[in-house]
Amino acid sequence: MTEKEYNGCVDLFADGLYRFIVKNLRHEEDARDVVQSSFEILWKHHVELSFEKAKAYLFTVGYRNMIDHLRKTKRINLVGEFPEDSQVKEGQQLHVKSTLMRALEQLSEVQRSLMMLKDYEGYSYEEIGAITGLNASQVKVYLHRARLKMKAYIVKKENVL
Amino acid sequence: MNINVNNYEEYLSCYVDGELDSAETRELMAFLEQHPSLEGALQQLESTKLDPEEKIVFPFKASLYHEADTKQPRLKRFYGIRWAAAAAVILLLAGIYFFRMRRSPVSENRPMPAYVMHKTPDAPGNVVPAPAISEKKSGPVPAHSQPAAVKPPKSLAAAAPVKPSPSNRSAGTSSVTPAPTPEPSPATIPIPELPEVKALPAVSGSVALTEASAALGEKPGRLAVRGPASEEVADQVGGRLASVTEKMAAGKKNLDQSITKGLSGLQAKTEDLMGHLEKKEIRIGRFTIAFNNE
Repeated sequence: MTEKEYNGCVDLFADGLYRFIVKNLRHEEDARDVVQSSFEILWKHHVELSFEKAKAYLFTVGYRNMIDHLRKTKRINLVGEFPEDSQVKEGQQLHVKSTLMRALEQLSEVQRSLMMLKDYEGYSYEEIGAITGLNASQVKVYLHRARLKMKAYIVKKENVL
Repeated sequence: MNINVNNYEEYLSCYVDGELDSAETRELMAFLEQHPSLEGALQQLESTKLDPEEKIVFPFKASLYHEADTKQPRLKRFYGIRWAAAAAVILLLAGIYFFRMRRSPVSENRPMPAYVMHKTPDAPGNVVPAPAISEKKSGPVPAHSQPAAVKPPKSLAAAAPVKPSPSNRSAGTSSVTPAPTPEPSPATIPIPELPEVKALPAVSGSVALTEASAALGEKPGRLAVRGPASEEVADQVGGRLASVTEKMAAGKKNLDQSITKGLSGLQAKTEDLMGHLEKKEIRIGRFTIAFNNE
Protein backbone atom coordinates (compact mmCIF):
# COMPACT_ATOMS: atom_id res chain seq x y z
CA MET A 1 0.00 0.00 0.00
CA THR A 2 1.38 3.36 -0.96
CA GLU A 3 1.41 6.46 1.15
CA LYS A 4 -1.39 7.82 -0.98
CA GLU A 5 -3.47 4.69 -0.45
CA TYR A 6 -2.87 4.90 3.27
CA ASN A 7 -4.22 8.44 3.26
CA GLY A 8 -7.13 7.15 1.23
CA CYS A 9 -7.77 4.73 4.07
CA VAL A 10 -7.93 7.68 6.44
CA ASP A 11 -10.52 9.32 4.21
CA LEU A 12 -12.55 6.16 3.74
CA PHE A 13 -12.38 4.35 7.05
CA ALA A 14 -11.57 6.78 9.85
CA ASP A 15 -15.19 7.81 10.35
CA GLY A 16 -16.42 4.22 10.28
CA LEU A 17 -13.78 3.01 12.70
CA TYR A 18 -14.49 5.91 15.01
CA ARG A 19 -18.23 5.16 14.89
CA PHE A 20 -17.48 1.54 15.69
CA ILE A 21 -15.23 2.40 18.63
CA VAL A 22 -17.05 5.36 20.10
CA LYS A 23 -20.38 3.55 20.16
CA ASN A 24 -18.76 0.78 22.10
CA LEU A 25 -16.66 2.82 24.49
CA ARG A 26 -19.15 5.67 24.76
CA HIS A 27 -16.18 7.91 25.52
CA GLU A 28 -15.01 10.25 22.78
CA GLU A 29 -11.43 10.80 23.95
CA ASP A 30 -10.79 7.12 24.53
CA ALA A 31 -12.29 6.34 21.13
CA ARG A 32 -10.08 8.95 19.52
CA ASP A 33 -7.01 7.40 21.12
CA VAL A 34 -8.00 3.95 19.93
CA VAL A 35 -8.56 5.20 16.37
CA GLN A 36 -5.26 7.06 16.32
CA SER A 37 -3.26 4.12 17.63
CA SER A 38 -5.01 1.83 15.13
CA PHE A 39 -4.03 4.07 12.24
CA GLU A 40 -0.50 4.27 13.59
CA ILE A 41 -0.29 0.50 13.46
CA LEU A 42 -1.75 0.50 9.98
CA TRP A 43 0.90 3.02 8.95
CA LYS A 44 3.65 0.87 10.41
CA HIS A 45 2.53 -2.05 8.25
CA HIS A 46 1.24 -0.17 5.24
CA VAL A 47 4.08 -1.36 3.01
CA GLU A 48 3.31 -5.05 3.39
CA LEU A 49 -0.47 -4.60 3.46
CA SER A 50 -2.63 -4.34 0.36
CA PHE A 51 -5.20 -1.60 0.11
CA GLU A 52 -7.98 -4.20 -0.17
CA LYS A 53 -7.09 -5.72 3.18
CA ALA A 54 -6.54 -2.42 4.91
CA LYS A 55 -10.07 -1.94 6.17
CA ALA A 56 -10.39 -5.38 7.77
CA TYR A 57 -6.91 -4.94 9.24
CA LEU A 58 -7.86 -1.58 10.62
CA PHE A 59 -11.03 -2.91 12.23
CA THR A 60 -9.18 -5.91 13.61
CA VAL A 61 -6.55 -3.71 15.20
CA GLY A 62 -9.19 -1.26 16.34
CA TYR A 63 -11.30 -4.01 17.89
CA ARG A 64 -8.31 -5.42 19.76
CA ASN A 65 -7.26 -1.99 20.95
CA MET A 66 -10.77 -1.37 22.14
CA ILE A 67 -11.01 -4.67 24.01
CA ASP A 68 -7.62 -4.00 25.59
CA HIS A 69 -8.81 -0.58 26.60
CA LEU A 70 -11.99 -2.00 28.08
CA ARG A 71 -10.03 -4.63 29.98
CA LYS A 72 -7.79 -1.96 31.39
CA THR A 73 -10.73 0.10 32.51
CA LYS A 74 -12.56 -3.06 33.63
CA ARG A 75 -15.72 -2.14 31.90
CA ILE A 76 -16.00 -5.16 29.69
CA ASN A 77 -18.61 -7.86 29.99
CA LEU A 78 -17.23 -10.46 27.65
CA VAL A 79 -19.80 -13.05 28.63
CA GLY A 80 -22.39 -10.98 26.89
CA GLU A 81 -25.15 -11.40 29.42
CA PHE A 82 -27.83 -8.82 29.84
CA PRO A 83 -26.74 -6.62 32.72
CA GLU A 84 -29.20 -6.79 35.57
CA ASP A 85 -29.07 -3.12 36.44
CA SER A 86 -29.18 -1.82 32.91
CA GLN A 87 -32.84 -1.01 33.13
CA VAL A 88 -32.27 1.12 36.21
CA LYS A 89 -30.38 3.59 34.02
CA GLU A 90 -33.49 4.55 32.15
CA GLY A 91 -34.24 8.17 32.80
CA GLN A 92 -35.38 11.33 31.11
CA GLN A 93 -32.08 11.74 29.24
CA LEU A 94 -32.68 8.51 27.34
CA HIS A 95 -35.48 10.11 25.37
CA VAL A 96 -32.79 11.99 23.46
CA LYS A 97 -31.51 8.80 21.90
CA SER A 98 -33.55 6.57 19.68
CA THR A 99 -34.94 3.35 21.06
CA LEU A 100 -32.65 1.46 18.74
CA MET A 101 -29.56 3.10 20.19
CA ARG A 102 -30.76 2.40 23.67
CA ALA A 103 -31.39 -1.19 22.69
CA LEU A 104 -27.84 -1.38 21.34
CA GLU A 105 -26.52 -0.12 24.64
CA GLN A 106 -28.16 -3.04 26.39
CA LEU A 107 -25.81 -5.44 24.65
CA SER A 108 -22.39 -6.54 25.78
CA GLU A 109 -19.35 -4.99 24.09
CA VAL A 110 -18.79 -8.10 21.99
CA GLN A 111 -22.42 -8.34 20.90
CA ARG A 112 -22.51 -4.66 20.14
CA SER A 113 -19.30 -4.98 18.14
CA LEU A 114 -20.73 -7.82 16.12
CA MET A 115 -23.91 -5.87 15.49
CA MET A 116 -22.02 -2.87 14.26
CA LEU A 117 -19.61 -4.85 12.13
CA LYS A 118 -22.59 -6.55 10.54
CA ASP A 119 -24.98 -3.65 10.07
CA TYR A 120 -22.69 -0.66 9.74
CA GLU A 121 -19.82 -2.24 7.87
CA GLY A 122 -21.69 -5.09 6.14
CA TYR A 123 -19.13 -7.74 6.99
CA SER A 124 -19.96 -11.41 6.64
CA TYR A 125 -19.91 -13.84 9.58
CA GLU A 126 -16.54 -15.05 8.32
CA GLU A 127 -15.07 -11.59 8.13
CA ILE A 128 -16.48 -10.62 11.51
CA GLY A 129 -15.00 -13.82 12.90
CA ALA A 130 -11.59 -12.86 11.52
CA ILE A 131 -11.82 -9.43 13.07
CA THR A 132 -13.04 -10.51 16.48
CA GLY A 133 -11.19 -13.82 16.74
CA LEU A 134 -14.37 -15.89 16.77
CA ASN A 135 -15.47 -18.51 14.28
CA ALA A 136 -18.30 -17.89 11.86
CA SER A 137 -20.87 -20.03 13.68
CA GLN A 138 -20.07 -18.28 16.97
CA VAL A 139 -20.62 -14.98 15.26
CA LYS A 140 -23.90 -16.21 13.88
CA VAL A 141 -25.14 -17.39 17.26
CA TYR A 142 -23.95 -14.30 19.11
CA LEU A 143 -25.57 -12.07 16.55
CA HIS A 144 -28.78 -14.00 16.74
CA ARG A 145 -28.87 -13.63 20.52
CA ALA A 146 -28.05 -9.98 20.22
CA ARG A 147 -30.90 -9.37 17.81
CA LEU A 148 -33.32 -11.21 20.02
CA LYS A 149 -32.24 -9.09 22.97
CA MET A 150 -32.62 -5.92 21.03
CA LYS A 151 -35.95 -7.03 19.69
CA ALA A 152 -37.15 -7.81 23.21
CA TYR A 153 -36.06 -4.39 24.40
CA ILE A 154 -37.73 -2.59 21.52
CA VAL A 155 -40.97 -4.54 21.84
CA LYS A 156 -41.03 -3.90 25.58
CA LYS A 157 -40.46 -0.18 25.00
CA GLU A 158 -43.24 -0.07 22.43
CA ASN A 159 -45.57 -1.79 24.85
CA VAL A 160 -44.68 0.68 27.59
CA LEU A 161 -45.27 3.63 25.29
CA MET B 1 -32.52 -27.23 5.00
CA ASN B 2 -35.54 -27.60 7.11
CA ILE B 3 -37.25 -24.52 8.46
CA ASN B 4 -39.73 -25.18 11.21
CA VAL B 5 -41.38 -23.35 14.10
CA ASN B 6 -38.45 -24.24 16.37
CA ASN B 7 -35.62 -22.90 14.26
CA TYR B 8 -37.29 -20.23 12.12
CA GLU B 9 -35.97 -17.39 14.35
CA GLU B 10 -32.43 -18.38 13.58
CA TYR B 11 -33.22 -18.23 9.89
CA LEU B 12 -34.94 -14.91 10.34
CA SER B 13 -31.78 -13.60 12.00
CA CYS B 14 -29.64 -14.90 9.18
CA TYR B 15 -32.02 -13.33 6.70
CA VAL B 16 -31.78 -9.98 8.48
CA ASP B 17 -28.02 -10.38 8.50
CA GLY B 18 -28.13 -11.00 4.75
CA GLU B 19 -26.45 -14.35 5.19
CA LEU B 20 -29.01 -16.50 3.38
CA ASP B 21 -28.45 -17.46 -0.21
CA SER B 22 -31.28 -17.17 -2.72
CA ALA B 23 -32.53 -20.74 -2.21
CA GLU B 24 -32.66 -20.33 1.56
CA THR B 25 -34.39 -17.00 1.18
CA ARG B 26 -37.06 -18.54 -1.03
CA GLU B 27 -37.61 -21.32 1.47
CA LEU B 28 -37.94 -18.88 4.36
CA MET B 29 -40.44 -16.76 2.42
CA ALA B 30 -42.49 -19.89 1.68
CA PHE B 31 -42.44 -20.81 5.38
CA LEU B 32 -43.61 -17.33 6.37
CA GLU B 33 -46.42 -17.53 3.86
CA GLN B 34 -47.54 -20.69 5.58
CA HIS B 35 -47.28 -19.02 8.97
CA PRO B 36 -48.48 -15.45 8.52
CA SER B 37 -48.53 -14.90 12.29
CA LEU B 38 -44.72 -15.02 12.26
CA GLU B 39 -44.39 -12.10 9.84
CA GLY B 40 -44.46 -9.77 12.80
CA ALA B 41 -41.40 -11.54 14.21
CA LEU B 42 -39.48 -10.80 11.03
CA GLN B 43 -40.44 -7.14 11.16
CA GLN B 44 -39.37 -6.94 14.78
CA LEU B 45 -36.02 -8.48 14.00
CA GLU B 46 -35.55 -6.14 11.08
CA SER B 47 -36.21 -3.22 13.38
CA THR B 48 -32.99 -4.13 15.20
CA LYS B 49 -30.93 -3.35 12.12
CA LEU B 50 -28.63 -0.38 12.56
CA ASP B 51 -28.65 2.25 9.86
CA PRO B 52 -25.33 2.09 7.98
CA GLU B 53 -25.92 5.63 6.74
CA GLU B 54 -25.65 6.99 10.26
CA LYS B 55 -22.64 9.31 10.18
CA ILE B 56 -20.24 9.99 12.96
CA VAL B 57 -17.31 12.02 11.74
CA PHE B 58 -13.90 11.48 13.24
CA PRO B 59 -12.80 15.04 14.00
CA PHE B 60 -9.05 14.47 14.02
CA LYS B 61 -8.38 13.09 10.56
CA ALA B 62 -5.59 15.59 10.02
CA SER B 63 -3.59 13.86 12.73
CA LEU B 64 -3.83 10.55 10.87
CA TYR B 65 -2.52 11.58 7.46
CA HIS B 66 1.04 10.61 7.04
CA GLU B 67 1.78 12.71 3.99
CA ALA B 68 0.65 15.68 6.03
CA ASP B 69 2.75 14.50 8.94
CA THR B 70 5.92 14.68 6.94
CA LYS B 71 5.04 17.98 5.32
CA GLN B 72 3.82 19.81 8.35
CA PRO B 73 7.08 19.95 10.28
CA ARG B 74 8.84 21.21 7.19
CA LEU B 75 6.29 23.97 6.83
CA LYS B 76 6.50 24.73 10.50
CA ARG B 77 10.27 24.95 10.35
CA PHE B 78 10.07 27.21 7.34
CA TYR B 79 7.62 29.54 9.00
CA GLY B 80 9.67 29.40 12.16
CA ILE B 81 12.70 30.74 10.36
CA ARG B 82 10.65 33.44 8.73
CA TRP B 83 9.13 34.49 12.03
CA ALA B 84 12.50 34.40 13.72
CA ALA B 85 13.97 36.58 10.99
CA ALA B 86 11.10 39.05 11.27
CA ALA B 87 11.44 39.12 15.05
CA ALA B 88 15.20 39.63 14.77
CA VAL B 89 14.76 42.58 12.41
CA ILE B 90 12.14 44.14 14.64
CA LEU B 91 14.31 43.65 17.72
CA LEU B 92 17.30 45.13 15.93
CA LEU B 93 15.34 48.19 14.83
CA ALA B 94 13.85 48.60 18.29
CA GLY B 95 17.31 48.27 19.80
CA ILE B 96 18.78 50.91 17.52
CA TYR B 97 15.85 53.20 18.21
CA PHE B 98 16.14 52.90 21.97
CA PHE B 99 19.90 53.20 21.86
CA ARG B 100 19.58 56.44 19.94
CA MET B 101 16.81 57.66 22.22
CA ARG B 102 18.93 57.08 25.28
CA ARG B 103 21.90 59.02 23.99
CA SER B 104 21.80 62.73 24.55
CA PRO B 105 21.85 64.93 21.44
CA VAL B 106 25.34 66.22 22.24
CA SER B 107 26.90 62.84 22.82
CA GLU B 108 25.44 61.77 19.50
CA ASN B 109 27.73 64.26 17.80
CA ARG B 110 30.76 62.82 19.45
CA PRO B 111 33.15 61.97 16.62
CA MET B 112 34.23 58.39 16.73
CA PRO B 113 37.51 58.88 14.78
CA ALA B 114 38.72 61.15 17.55
CA TYR B 115 39.24 58.13 19.71
CA VAL B 116 41.59 56.63 17.11
CA MET B 117 43.46 59.85 16.72
CA HIS B 118 44.05 59.95 20.41
CA LYS B 119 45.76 56.60 20.26
CA THR B 120 48.08 57.17 17.33
CA PRO B 121 51.71 57.18 18.49
CA ASP B 122 52.64 60.40 16.74
CA ALA B 123 49.72 62.34 18.18
CA PRO B 124 50.68 65.80 19.31
CA GLY B 125 51.75 65.86 22.85
CA ASN B 126 50.16 69.19 23.62
CA VAL B 127 46.64 67.82 23.81
CA VAL B 128 45.10 68.91 27.01
CA PRO B 129 42.92 66.26 28.59
CA ALA B 130 39.26 66.97 28.87
CA PRO B 131 38.10 68.38 32.16
CA ALA B 132 36.83 65.85 34.59
CA ILE B 133 33.10 65.52 34.53
CA SER B 134 32.88 65.35 38.27
CA GLU B 135 34.32 68.85 38.50
CA LYS B 136 31.23 70.65 39.68
CA LYS B 137 30.54 74.30 40.28
CA SER B 138 34.06 75.20 39.23
CA GLY B 139 34.91 78.07 36.98
CA PRO B 140 35.35 77.68 33.22
CA VAL B 141 38.08 75.27 32.29
CA PRO B 142 40.01 75.93 29.10
CA ALA B 143 39.61 72.87 26.98
CA HIS B 144 42.15 73.53 24.26
CA SER B 145 45.68 74.61 23.87
CA GLN B 146 44.70 77.37 21.44
CA PRO B 147 43.99 80.23 23.77
CA ALA B 148 42.90 82.53 20.94
CA ALA B 149 39.88 80.40 20.20
CA VAL B 150 38.73 80.21 23.78
CA LYS B 151 35.61 82.19 24.31
CA PRO B 152 34.70 83.58 27.65
CA PRO B 153 32.24 81.26 29.28
CA LYS B 154 30.09 84.12 30.42
CA SER B 155 29.17 85.11 26.90
CA LEU B 156 28.22 81.55 26.02
CA ALA B 157 26.09 81.18 29.06
CA ALA B 158 24.48 84.54 28.53
CA ALA B 159 23.82 83.85 24.86
CA ALA B 160 22.41 80.45 25.56
CA PRO B 161 18.68 80.49 25.02
CA VAL B 162 17.49 79.23 28.35
CA LYS B 163 13.75 78.98 28.42
CA PRO B 164 11.85 79.29 31.69
CA SER B 165 10.90 75.67 31.44
CA PRO B 166 9.60 73.92 34.56
CA SER B 167 12.05 71.14 33.88
CA ASN B 168 15.50 72.18 34.97
CA ARG B 169 16.99 69.28 33.12
CA SER B 170 15.86 70.55 29.77
CA ALA B 171 17.03 74.03 30.66
CA GLY B 172 20.43 72.68 31.47
CA THR B 173 20.85 70.86 28.20
CA SER B 174 19.40 73.56 26.02
CA SER B 175 21.95 76.00 27.31
CA VAL B 176 24.72 74.06 25.61
CA THR B 177 23.22 72.25 22.64
CA PRO B 178 23.22 75.20 20.25
CA ALA B 179 27.01 75.15 20.17
CA PRO B 180 28.19 74.00 16.75
CA THR B 181 29.94 70.65 16.86
CA PRO B 182 30.95 69.76 13.32
CA GLU B 183 31.90 66.14 12.94
CA PRO B 184 35.41 65.86 11.61
CA SER B 185 35.94 62.91 9.36
CA PRO B 186 39.49 62.91 8.05
CA ALA B 187 38.72 60.31 5.43
CA THR B 188 35.99 62.26 3.67
CA ILE B 189 36.63 65.91 4.23
CA PRO B 190 39.05 67.37 1.67
CA ILE B 191 42.12 68.94 3.16
CA PRO B 192 41.65 72.59 2.23
CA GLU B 193 38.04 72.55 3.39
CA LEU B 194 38.81 71.39 6.90
CA PRO B 195 36.84 73.69 9.13
CA GLU B 196 38.63 75.98 11.46
CA VAL B 197 38.47 74.25 14.77
CA LYS B 198 37.45 76.55 17.52
CA ALA B 199 37.84 75.33 20.96
CA LEU B 200 34.79 75.85 23.06
CA PRO B 201 35.17 76.22 26.75
CA ALA B 202 33.97 73.57 29.06
CA VAL B 203 31.10 75.23 30.82
CA SER B 204 30.14 74.19 34.21
CA GLY B 205 26.44 73.49 34.22
CA SER B 206 25.84 75.14 37.51
CA VAL B 207 27.50 78.32 36.32
CA ALA B 208 25.42 78.32 33.15
CA LEU B 209 22.29 77.80 35.16
CA THR B 210 23.17 80.50 37.57
CA GLU B 211 23.79 82.89 34.69
CA ALA B 212 20.58 81.86 32.99
CA SER B 213 18.50 82.25 36.10
CA ALA B 214 20.10 85.61 36.77
CA ALA B 215 19.16 86.70 33.27
CA LEU B 216 15.62 85.60 33.91
CA GLY B 217 15.53 87.49 37.15
CA GLU B 218 15.17 84.43 39.28
CA LYS B 219 17.05 83.80 42.43
CA PRO B 220 20.05 81.70 41.57
CA GLY B 221 19.77 79.72 44.76
CA ARG B 222 16.34 78.35 43.91
CA LEU B 223 17.39 76.94 40.62
CA ALA B 224 20.49 75.42 42.07
CA VAL B 225 18.55 73.79 44.87
CA ARG B 226 15.84 72.60 42.57
CA GLY B 227 18.04 70.99 40.00
CA PRO B 228 21.13 69.21 41.20
CA ALA B 229 20.54 66.61 38.53
CA SER B 230 20.42 69.21 35.80
CA GLU B 231 23.67 70.67 37.05
CA GLU B 232 25.31 67.33 36.65
CA VAL B 233 23.93 67.01 33.16
CA ALA B 234 25.14 70.45 32.26
CA ASP B 235 28.56 69.64 33.65
CA GLN B 236 28.70 66.48 31.62
CA VAL B 237 27.61 68.26 28.50
CA GLY B 238 30.18 70.97 29.00
CA GLY B 239 32.89 68.39 29.57
CA ARG B 240 31.93 66.42 26.50
CA LEU B 241 31.84 69.51 24.35
CA ALA B 242 35.35 70.39 25.44
CA SER B 243 36.65 66.92 24.73
CA VAL B 244 34.98 66.97 21.32
CA THR B 245 36.61 70.21 20.28
CA GLU B 246 39.93 69.06 21.63
CA LYS B 247 39.74 65.83 19.72
CA MET B 248 38.76 67.65 16.56
CA ALA B 249 41.84 69.85 16.84
CA ALA B 250 44.05 66.86 17.48
CA GLY B 251 42.55 65.13 14.47
CA LYS B 252 43.23 68.05 12.20
CA LYS B 253 46.81 68.29 13.37
CA ASN B 254 47.28 64.58 12.81
CA LEU B 255 45.88 64.81 9.34
CA ASP B 256 48.06 67.76 8.42
CA GLN B 257 51.13 65.93 9.61
CA SER B 258 50.38 62.77 7.69
CA ILE B 259 49.65 64.74 4.54
CA THR B 260 52.94 66.59 4.80
CA LYS B 261 54.74 63.34 5.46
CA GLY B 262 53.06 61.67 2.51
CA LEU B 263 53.82 64.57 0.19
CA SER B 264 57.51 64.68 1.12
CA GLY B 265 57.73 60.90 0.69
CA LEU B 266 56.17 61.15 -2.73
CA GLN B 267 58.52 63.93 -3.72
CA ALA B 268 61.54 61.87 -2.64
CA LYS B 269 60.27 58.89 -4.61
CA THR B 270 59.72 61.01 -7.73
CA GLU B 271 63.18 62.48 -7.46
CA ASP B 272 64.65 59.00 -7.09
CA LEU B 273 62.76 57.80 -10.16
CA MET B 274 63.85 60.81 -12.16
CA GLY B 275 67.47 60.12 -11.22
CA HIS B 276 67.13 56.53 -12.42
CA LEU B 277 65.51 57.66 -15.64
CA GLU B 278 68.39 59.94 -16.31
CA LYS B 279 70.69 56.97 -15.87
CA LYS B 280 68.41 55.07 -18.30
CA GLU B 281 67.61 52.36 -15.86
CA ILE B 282 64.60 51.28 -13.84
CA ARG B 283 64.96 49.83 -10.45
CA ILE B 284 62.34 47.40 -9.26
CA GLY B 285 63.17 46.12 -5.83
CA ARG B 286 66.55 44.46 -6.06
CA PHE B 287 66.55 44.35 -9.87
CA THR B 288 67.77 47.08 -12.05
CA ILE B 289 66.82 47.23 -15.72
CA ALA B 290 69.09 49.31 -17.88
CA PHE B 291 67.96 50.79 -21.21
CA ASN B 292 70.14 51.43 -24.14
CA ASN B 293 68.42 53.60 -26.73
CA GLU B 294 71.40 53.88 -29.02
